[in-house]
Amino acid sequence: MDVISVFIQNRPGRLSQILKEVMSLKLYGFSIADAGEFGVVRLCLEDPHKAVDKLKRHDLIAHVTPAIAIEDNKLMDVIEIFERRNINIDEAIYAVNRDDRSLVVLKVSDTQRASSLLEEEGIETF
Amino acid sequence: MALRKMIRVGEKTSPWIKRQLKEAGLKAEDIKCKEDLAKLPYTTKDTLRENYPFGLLACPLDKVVRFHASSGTTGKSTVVYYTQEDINVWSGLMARVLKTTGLTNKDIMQIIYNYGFFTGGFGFHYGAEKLGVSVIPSGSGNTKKQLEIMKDFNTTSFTSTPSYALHLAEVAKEMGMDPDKDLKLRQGVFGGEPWSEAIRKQIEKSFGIDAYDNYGLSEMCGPGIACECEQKDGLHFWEDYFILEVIDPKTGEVLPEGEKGELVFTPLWKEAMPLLRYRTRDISRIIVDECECGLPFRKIERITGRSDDMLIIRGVNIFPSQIEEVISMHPAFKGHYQIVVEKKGFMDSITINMEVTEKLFSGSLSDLLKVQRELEESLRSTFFIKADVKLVEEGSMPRSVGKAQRVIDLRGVKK
Repeated sequence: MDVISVFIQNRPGRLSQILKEVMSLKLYGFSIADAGEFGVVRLCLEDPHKAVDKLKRHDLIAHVTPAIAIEDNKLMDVIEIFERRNINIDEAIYAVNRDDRSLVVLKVSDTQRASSLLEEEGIETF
Repeated sequence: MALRKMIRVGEKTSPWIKRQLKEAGLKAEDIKCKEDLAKLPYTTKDTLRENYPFGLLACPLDKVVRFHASSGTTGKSTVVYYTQEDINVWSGLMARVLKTTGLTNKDIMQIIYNYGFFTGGFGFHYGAEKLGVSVIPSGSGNTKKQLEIMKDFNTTSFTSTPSYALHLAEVAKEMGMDPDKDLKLRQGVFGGEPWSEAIRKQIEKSFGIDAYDNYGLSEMCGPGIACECEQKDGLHFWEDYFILEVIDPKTGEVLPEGEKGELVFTPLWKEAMPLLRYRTRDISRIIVDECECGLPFRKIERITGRSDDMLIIRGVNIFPSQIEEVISMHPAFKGHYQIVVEKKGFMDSITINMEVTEKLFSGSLSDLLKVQRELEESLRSTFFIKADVKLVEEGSMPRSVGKAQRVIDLRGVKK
């Protein structure tokens, strides 16, 4: 699952404006990383590229970043694998998918290597 | 007369003065009085920049015993030089300043200025010693320690920027100290930045002291050009050592006495760095009326502003262009930024708002924080002051037609 990262300045009304732009798309996951005066909003949406286009049209700086989604009950196993194989977890978002399965979306240091590792270990990714 | 001698020597020793005379089509002997002086072109901050570092030296380097420099980025700072005689005269001028504000050899003065390239620390130090004042060279910073020393040493006077004085009073209260009752202070001499009558009242009330204004600039020597007497109504300037002209900053024309304009000084005593008609960019006017204190020197009004965009942040002179120079060296810089200056508590605070661009933001918050840290660090190491860098959304700053408003000074009118 891809994650959309949006740069946001900390001022009233900004967050609702961002969400309004993507309201028509199904929202699976959401988080805010705050650094005081500014922050980054992360969104997991049904059509990330379409969402980014919408946001950019309103002068927002948004990117689609690849991430790995796993079922929440596999989290411990996945973390152990990553620790063993030196994969760093940068961010995590709790999300659901369209079948309402509970997921954890992980932004990691090397997405490609991480997904092939999980494949080897037989862990399903989304 | 001192002016004639100075120009005669300057024509021989200073390539810049020689050029000024040549441009006006005059020889040294043509300049006999202040009116003749007005025929010469001005010296400006740019003259100093263009002649960095030693281009304005008018004596052999062997005779130079000291350098000072104004804050500035590489290649743009301005250097000033002093012979032993220059230091002696400067110390005398500073001693006169301190005497005029009522200090004597019975006083203990704490000098809360940076000792370094900045002229403030050394200027006050040498002047106070010359007057026989007991000097505590405590330097800038470390507020709590400053207050402890004031208490333990029975300090009777101190000098700092006015905003730092207010900060000291605040911290004293936080420490459970009453600076009026618990300290032996009786007076203070303040300067380095414009300040208002309201701030004077506040300083005087907080510490139970008399607070005096003083004026100077490194291009002339540093502090030691003008100061207030006990009347606290205008600053006497040392007419026997400086010629003062007041000019229209736009046309460059000399204004009649008493009119408000830019101060232009010609020092009559400098060996290492004689300058003719230096444009200070400071706005004031000469007070024509005689002062009740009886000093034979006329007064200028306290400085009410600048004719250029120079910012004075906690006593440090900064041009917006210097800030741009620093931040534009960062790869993330795309041209849209704004400098916001405001008072936080009593201290000046400076924030640089910089727009985040597509290129800068790849989705990672830690990358942004890194950029922020790097910019703050380069501003700190260039200007020696803390500046906050705030990353803002692209397009969030007003795009004005014509000249962008790069600087927003929210510190209020200095009246």
